[in-house]
Amino acid sequence: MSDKKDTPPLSIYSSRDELNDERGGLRLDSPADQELRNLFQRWNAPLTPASLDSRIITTYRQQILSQENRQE
Amino acid sequence: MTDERLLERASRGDEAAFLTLYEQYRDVVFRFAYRLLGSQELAEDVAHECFLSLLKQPRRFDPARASLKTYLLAATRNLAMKHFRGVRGLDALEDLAEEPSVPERRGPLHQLLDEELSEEVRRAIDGLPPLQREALLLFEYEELALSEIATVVGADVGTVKARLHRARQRLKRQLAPYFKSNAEEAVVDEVLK
Repeated sequence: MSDKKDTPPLSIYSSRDELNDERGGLRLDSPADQELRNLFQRWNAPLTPASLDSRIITTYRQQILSQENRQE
Repeated sequence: MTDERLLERASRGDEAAFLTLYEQYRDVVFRFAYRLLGSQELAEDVAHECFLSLLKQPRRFDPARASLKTYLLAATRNLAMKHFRGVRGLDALEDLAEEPSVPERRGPLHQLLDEELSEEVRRAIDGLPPLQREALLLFEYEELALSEIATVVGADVGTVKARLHRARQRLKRQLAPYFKSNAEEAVVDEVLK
C-alpha cells in the first residue's frame, strides 16, 4: 500500500461570495470559518490502493462471465 | 460519452467502458469511504462493494434523479452506515452523548508539525456523530452542493444545513487551539516566558 498522500479536491474559492452563492447559501465568512477551512486542508486521504483496482477488475470479469454463462 | 451510456456498455461486457467509469470515480468513492470509516481496509471493502452493486444492478442508477457521482457517494454512504449500525448502534448516528474532550494543548512549536495537525483534524472530524460527519465530508472535501448532499444522505436541505452548522460549531470549539491566530499568540507567550 502506498504511503503517498493525495491532495483532496479543495478548491481555492476566489471570494467568500462565490462560496456562499455556489454551495447553497451557507454563510461561512467569519474568520473562524476561514481558520477551520484552512485546517481541513491539512487532512489528506491516502491514495486509492492498487489492490482495489485488481479486486474490481477481477470482480468485473467474473460478473460478465457469469452473465454470459446464464445467457447460454 | 455519458456515464449512463458507459454504464450500459459496461454492463454488456465492454471492459474499457467499465474502466473509464471506474477510473473516473474510484478516488472519490475510496476517499469518502476512508474519511467516513477511518480505515483503508474498510474503505477498500466498501468501495469494492459499491462498484459491485453498480455492476449487479446498473438500472438502479437513474440519471434523471442524480449524477453517477452522487449515486455512488450515496451507495458508499449506505454501505458505511451499515458498518456504523453494526459497530455503534442506531442511536449514535445523530448525536453522541458526550462531546469529545478538547485535545490536549501541546506546545506551540509542535503545532508546526503538519502530520500532528493533520492527525488532530482527523481525530476531531472522526469524533463527530456520523450524520454530521458525512455532511461535513461531502461539503468540505467532495465539494458537493447542499442539494446534492441532501440527495446522498436522503434528507432535506434544511436538515443538511443544520447538521453542517452543528458540525462546524463543534469543530470550531475543538480545533480553536490550532487556529493560526491562537497559535501565533501562543508562540509569543512561549517566547516571553
